[in-house]
Amino acid sequence: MALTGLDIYKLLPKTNCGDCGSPTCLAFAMKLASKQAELQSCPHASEEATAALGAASQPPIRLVTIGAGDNRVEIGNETVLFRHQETFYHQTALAVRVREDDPEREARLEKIAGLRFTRVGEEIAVDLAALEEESGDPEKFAAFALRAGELSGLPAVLISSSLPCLGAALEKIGKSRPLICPRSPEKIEDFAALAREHSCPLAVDGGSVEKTAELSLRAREAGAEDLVLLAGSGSLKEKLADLTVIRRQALRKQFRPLGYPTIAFTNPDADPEAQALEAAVLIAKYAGVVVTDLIRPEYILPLLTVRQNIYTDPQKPIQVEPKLYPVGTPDRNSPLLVTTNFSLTYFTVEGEIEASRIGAYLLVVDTEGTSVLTAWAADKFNAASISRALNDSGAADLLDHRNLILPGYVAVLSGKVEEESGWTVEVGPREASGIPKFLKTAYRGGTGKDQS
Amino acid sequence: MKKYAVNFLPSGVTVAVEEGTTILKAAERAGIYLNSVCGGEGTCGKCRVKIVFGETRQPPTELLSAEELAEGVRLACRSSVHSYLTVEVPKETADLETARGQAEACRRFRDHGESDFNGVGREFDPPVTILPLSLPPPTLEDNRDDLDRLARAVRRQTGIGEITVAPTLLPRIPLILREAGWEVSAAVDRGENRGEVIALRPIKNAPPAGGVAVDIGTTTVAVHLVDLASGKTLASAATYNSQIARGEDVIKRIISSEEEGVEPLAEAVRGDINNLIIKLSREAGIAAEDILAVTAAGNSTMIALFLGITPRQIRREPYVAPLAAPPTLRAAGAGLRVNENAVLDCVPGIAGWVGGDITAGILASGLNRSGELSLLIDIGTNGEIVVGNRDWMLACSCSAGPAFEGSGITSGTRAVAGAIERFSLGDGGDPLWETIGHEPPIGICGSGLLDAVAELFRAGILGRDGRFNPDHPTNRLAFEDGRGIFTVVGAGESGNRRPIVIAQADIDNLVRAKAAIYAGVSVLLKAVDLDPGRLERVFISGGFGRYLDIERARRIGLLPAVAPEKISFIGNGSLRGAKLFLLSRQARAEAARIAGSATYLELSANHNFMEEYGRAMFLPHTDVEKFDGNSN
Amino acid sequence: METVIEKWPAAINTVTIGAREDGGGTRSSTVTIGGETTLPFLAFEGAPPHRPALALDILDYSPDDWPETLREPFREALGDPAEWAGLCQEKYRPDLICLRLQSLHPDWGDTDPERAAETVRAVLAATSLPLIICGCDHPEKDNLAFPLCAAAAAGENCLIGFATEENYKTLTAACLADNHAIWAQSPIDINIAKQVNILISEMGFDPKRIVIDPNTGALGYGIEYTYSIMERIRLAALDGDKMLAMPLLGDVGADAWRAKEAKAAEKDFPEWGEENLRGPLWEAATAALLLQAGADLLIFRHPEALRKIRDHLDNLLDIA
Repeated sequence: MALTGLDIYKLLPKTNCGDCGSPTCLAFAMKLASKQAELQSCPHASEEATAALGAASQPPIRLVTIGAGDNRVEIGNETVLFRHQETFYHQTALAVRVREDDPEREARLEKIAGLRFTRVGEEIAVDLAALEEESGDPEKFAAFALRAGELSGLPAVLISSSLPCLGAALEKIGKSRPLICPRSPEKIEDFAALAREHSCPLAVDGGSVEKTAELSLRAREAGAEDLVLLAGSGSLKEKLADLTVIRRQALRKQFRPLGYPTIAFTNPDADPEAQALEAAVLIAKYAGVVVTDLIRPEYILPLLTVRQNIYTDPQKPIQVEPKLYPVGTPDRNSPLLVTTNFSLTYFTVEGEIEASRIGAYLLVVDTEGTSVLTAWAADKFNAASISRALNDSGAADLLDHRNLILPGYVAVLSGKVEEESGWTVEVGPREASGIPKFLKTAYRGGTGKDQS
Repeated sequence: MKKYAVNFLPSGVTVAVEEGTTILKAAERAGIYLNSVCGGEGTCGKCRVKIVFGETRQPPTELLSAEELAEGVRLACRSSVHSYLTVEVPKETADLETARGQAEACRRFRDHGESDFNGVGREFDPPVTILPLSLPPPTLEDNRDDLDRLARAVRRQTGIGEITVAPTLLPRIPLILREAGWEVSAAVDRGENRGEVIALRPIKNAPPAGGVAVDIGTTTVAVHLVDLASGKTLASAATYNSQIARGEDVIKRIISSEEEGVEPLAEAVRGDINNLIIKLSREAGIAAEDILAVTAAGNSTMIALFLGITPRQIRREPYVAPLAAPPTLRAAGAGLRVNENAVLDCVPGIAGWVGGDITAGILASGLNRSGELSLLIDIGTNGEIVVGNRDWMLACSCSAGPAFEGSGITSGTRAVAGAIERFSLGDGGDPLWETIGHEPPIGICGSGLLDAVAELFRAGILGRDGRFNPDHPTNRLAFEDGRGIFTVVGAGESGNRRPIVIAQADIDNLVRAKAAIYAGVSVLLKAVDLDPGRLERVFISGGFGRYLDIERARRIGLLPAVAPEKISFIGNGSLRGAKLFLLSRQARAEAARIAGSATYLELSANHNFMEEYGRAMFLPHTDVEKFDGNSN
Repeated sequence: METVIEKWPAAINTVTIGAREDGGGTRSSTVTIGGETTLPFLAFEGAPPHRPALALDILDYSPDDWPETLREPFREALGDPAEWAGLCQEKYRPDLICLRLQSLHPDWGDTDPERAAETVRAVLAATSLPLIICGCDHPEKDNLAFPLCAAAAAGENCLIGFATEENYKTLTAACLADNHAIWAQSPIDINIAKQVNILISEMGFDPKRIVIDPNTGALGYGIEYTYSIMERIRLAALDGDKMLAMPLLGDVGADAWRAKEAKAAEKDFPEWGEENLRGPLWEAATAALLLQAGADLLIFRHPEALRKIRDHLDNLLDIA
């Protein structure tokens, strides 16, 4: 069971020496409890403390790396069943399947490499190429694996139940640590030996959670350490059940044979939209790797967005990109409002402007994800940061006027903002809900073009 | 020390207290309210109780007749516990409001810890010590110089090796010694192995040597004038902090200091303190010259501004105070009109947002000396909260606003004569209230407002969302622009010809304040995985009035779900702690340890706080089921 | 290995919308939602007693600002809510119709509350499906319209919304008088969700006739907040919190179609692919996530999104 801050505190020297970088032993203990620090930072920790904390800090779900170098992905090491309890740490790796016998396979691999998008300042992309062996020919499969790596630039999932095919492919690309994914529960020891030899992760498919647990034990005994558990092969209902059971057994019971990340396949016979929705569920519900047959951006972009959203840390304020946003269809006389980059603040303000049905520009200032009042109190939303954002935004080129609407809560900043930016400030409402009324009745700017 | 159980009748509540504890104290610990108008001075006679079984000790008093004494009647504030006791609390002592037949009396506490030195177990040993010295006059055989003669005497009495004298005092020593006939009292500022004589006064006909303890609150400044030789409090007074003109909260004050300089703020609060000192000196019949020591407790911003330092960084990450433990200074150097050599010491703080006021509160509560798991809630403009015991302490601070101090409230006032400090609604829905000093009402202080919110809510005039209910039949409720205003006292009845009202904005302010405090408590307890049920003691501190109705505080969701008998109100903990800092070197050593070892939890980096705050923005709380029906 | 089966102390309320003749109404079907005893779609712990219900939006004005993709399926009926409702029932087979009286809003036409009541009557006549009625989110206008619309739909057991922390009294009184269920909305905040339910209940309204709408954020635009708030509401409810034990509503379409990724034309973002595929899938993906978080009633804009989710539910419930 996880130790509380007070439990850990009792194990520490209680000298408040500060050598660990925290001001007191209790502060350090609380950081340890929330896994924001490591015991090694304390040079005075007793052996007893090291032993007690070591046992408690072993991750219930193993961290497994697929791939090597910059493109590697890490999965597992999750600590909770629901994201609000902490966060989901290691994003689901999205894999697109390419079949060996597909005549279009090379074009497909190139397309996979191009499935990259930028959302809210973050690059989101497909992570893995899932290569399905179909020829039964070790040499051909090995050549395909090598070529796939060149074309996609991504680590591979090698799907095959042929030991020679996998062996041959690993000779070629073993160094890039592909995930070995045999399609049968037979000969697990042999596959484990192969995984061990090439130090690659191995997927284990027992056909049921109980059988998979058994296989994972055997694979481990045969020397494979980095395992990935295959969840369900039938309906989405079964996959969801398997993923849930595996996660719960690992976290609630510390059941080691299931203490690994998971892999799930969407139904290859379903139409692409159904596969996409299935994949969305698998991402939300604990899959470490999701393999689909989807290739069009219409299907991949929403999936990558699902993943980005679900794996957002709920404990951190979410930020939107600080820049100038058009809301509705603004023109050169449209009002310009300013707010902070805390996403809830932004969405609220943006929603209210949209509801007013008046086109406007919204300038978002970087306040490190804090709301207007908090940012003002902490001196992050001030005349300097607003003026800087205003200058950087290019608003002056888009507008014929020089009027800026400041949130009512920071009316005190008006004079300084005017002084620093040279723009005329109008004080808007305190609450976003007052924006539509304000824009329609109280706002005076935009009409007087000479105010600048 | 030996402990005895004291059983109070008719409630049947039993409490174990140390031998020598007064019955009044024991009653407070048991959560039983006893009348005490004089505040435990033994002069009002309102705290009569009857000893049914057991032995007490008490000084003689003229307030009790021989018959009463024979029947076992005692003054609770004067009688101390020396055996197992059964104490009957007569109805007239139990509650001022028994006539109303309400059963809440036993959960009301009165702040009466302000009179004599109450060290909560610490020795009386002021750092500025007043030594009565009888020097042998020089003779031909003993012709040492005057300074040496004085130093030796001080050394002998204190055991301190190195004795120095304040430079400005030096030239006056020969004259003072001779004028006083060699019978002088020396004020010695004691440090580690050295001491400085800062004042020398004739023993004969000299007024008491005064010490001043100051609580510099964001909203209220409170001062006690103390006799340094005895620890007796000579006078006390409070006023609003006139920095309020430059912003009602800490952030606005910091911004003001950045934009207009720190001087206006420093001068404002120094002026407040000086005015209070002048008032108290007059009351006690001493001169500014006679005040030899000052201690101050306040949050880090208040202390910095008082000392003339701009606390820029307190509002900026990572929220660092300019100085947590200011060194000993001359009070005159900080603009205080006291003896030119008087020393000024500030109670050390814990972190940027948890200042010396909370260290002082810990001192006053004794939390740092007890093995019991305790919670201290200091209700001020910033709510400061501490959980822990003698082994560990975790503190946090949250912004509550000045509502509890009656500031920013339509008819708000400090707890002064004429302030409505208690409020109830009678069966007919008419307000019943009581003012401090039984003067005509001039406004509502924090405790009165808290009572009012609890009562208006109970009566259904306020909804759970804290809004006035337009459908309620009471004729005291009016609406302007959809916002309710409740009239407590009509203009005709009020002491200042103005109606006393409670507006929707006042309710909003109080609900926000209580939500912030409650959220701070919740987050602090969660940070160490503690359930409120595991707390053994809860201390409430704050300058919002002379009393706090625990039951009503729970009814509006200010306090966590803790059995009422564990809760006690310690009055202005910051001020009491500042006084301990003035009067006990032991307390001063403890303060240093507290400041050095307590852990600070930064709430601005804590995502649970806003969540808990949102949960508490309801009456009594969004988790209604945990509050309703669980209050006894 | 012993599988961890979760036994929860409480179940989610069931809410029925619509009334047939035997129930005093004129609907041809009714919809019942809620009743779960465990987390969504965990059949091994208890099959959900009622399938999540899917509704389709209709508006009381012609939405000229809708993207082409969204206008196309309803083209001939746009601007006539009764015809629109009929078209939906006949062609797209939702479980319910959601009528939005947006034109009441001062900025959307400022139409008469009496006209809104007439629209309700006309739509009820044009469709036999259970009806959700949604005001214009302008408290003053809504409060004029709610009593009239509730009366116009008396006996039909509609779901009417929405009640908010700021404005719940008029709607609650109207639903009490004419026996409708309440759609209670809160701003992505579990506490306010609970507070609204308490406030409504304290007016004497049966909490088992409330549906919680924790306010949907679209995929890519805050859905993670909604997702976690829904999960938390559901966990609290299963754990015994009666004031959160209501079925959950996801107002998917209205929010998903605000997303740039849903409505932008292919010519503006060629790398995103065809808008006709992208838009409905964006809406469906938003819905799929909310289903996992516990949604019981989803309101769609695009019939294709609704169809995809109907198939997806078959897949989740393993109905071949």
